Amino acid sequence: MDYNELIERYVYAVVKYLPRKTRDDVSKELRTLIEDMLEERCGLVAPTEKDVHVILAELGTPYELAQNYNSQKEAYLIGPKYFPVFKLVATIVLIVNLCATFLAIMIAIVFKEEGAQTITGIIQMLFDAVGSLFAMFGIIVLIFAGIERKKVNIETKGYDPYNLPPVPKKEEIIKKSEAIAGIVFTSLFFLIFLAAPQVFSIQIFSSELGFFTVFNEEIVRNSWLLLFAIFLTGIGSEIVKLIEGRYSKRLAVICTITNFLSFLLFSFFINTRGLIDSNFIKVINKISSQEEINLDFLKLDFRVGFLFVLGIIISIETISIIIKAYKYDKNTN
Amino acid sequence: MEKNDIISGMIMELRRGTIVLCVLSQLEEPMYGYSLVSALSESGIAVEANTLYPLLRRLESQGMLESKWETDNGPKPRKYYCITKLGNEVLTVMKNQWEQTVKSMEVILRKG
Repeated sequence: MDYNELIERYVYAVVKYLPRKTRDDVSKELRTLIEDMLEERCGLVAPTEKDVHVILAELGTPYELAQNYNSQKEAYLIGPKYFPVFKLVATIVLIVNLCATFLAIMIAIVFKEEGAQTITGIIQMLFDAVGSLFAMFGIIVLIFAGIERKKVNIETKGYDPYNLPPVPKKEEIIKKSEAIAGIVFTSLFFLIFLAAPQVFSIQIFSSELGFFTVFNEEIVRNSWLLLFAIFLTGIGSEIVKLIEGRYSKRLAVICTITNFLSFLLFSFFINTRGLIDSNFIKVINKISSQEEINLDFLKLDFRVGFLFVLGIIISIETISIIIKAYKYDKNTN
Repeated sequence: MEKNDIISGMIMELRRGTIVLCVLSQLEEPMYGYSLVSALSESGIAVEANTLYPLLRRLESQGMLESKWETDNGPKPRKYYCITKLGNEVLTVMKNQWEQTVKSMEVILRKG
């Protein structure tokens, strides 16, 4: 190979990483530099391809050299200055997006929208949801890349050390993973409940028939608005936990309200006329007469029992949050 | 991390700022890149061309150097760099800073 060809290849390999407007100038400069180095190495003797090879090795890889030229600019997509904020925003936005998508799927199932009538259709919707998560991530990255380029000032003005919140003690911190798991499970529970209430069924061994659905599918779907509201109260308190990140009085107040609302809405739901499947009641009546056991409590006390258990669970959670908030939140106002 | 890596990293950090000072101090008269590499290495400061050329360009973009392509002195066109008024002002401040640092460092290192 002609040694000039080797030089040209090297120069091209360097400048292709550089901004367009500086390429010509840097090319010219690099060619003279290489010639100067050759001159020093060979003196008056005509340089050979091997000499060029040695010098180009000495100059380092084209990418390294290009990096040296570019190092004057901070070539970050999202640099260390903005990355922590980016991470926080991305987490919250993606979680909210995930919840919103679950809600959308739930609504689609309730209204038997096109594409939500079959299992494959619902799976397709879930795949689309994943796609939309990636798209959302891409948008957040783009926004932050813009902020990085413009070097927007995100630090609050008027910093005063007195305004810093107190350091949370270890047991006072609510783990992000806990809140996220809460959101995911709440979403999944309602998704399954709306899509297939038959999951909640009872197997009766003694009779000739197998499974009996406890809840009437039709009625469950008709009370979607109520379920939706329960879902929102459940998700709401988890999102507040995620943002607040610690047990505080504010958190306790919000959680008490949302838990109370949840319970109230749930008691409305459980008292919906016809919620307990009529087949289920018939079967119980049948078994009662056949086996001469009184199974009436299953019909009558079912609601009371359900609400009782739910009430206890919700009370325990609320009281524990209030106690923790009272215990740890003495320092703040 | 290997001991040698740590050392070479620290030496690089130490040299980074001093090279700028060396370059500015040499460019009262216009010089081209490779002549500056030679001049510095004669004074015992070894700077690789692949560091110096990008550095010259950066100092120029900051307005501390100015450059001109010269074809008069031979067949090859060369880019000559020369210090600007701003560069000189910065150099004066930096020289003082350097002298103070050296003094303080001598005291500190002697104690250590």
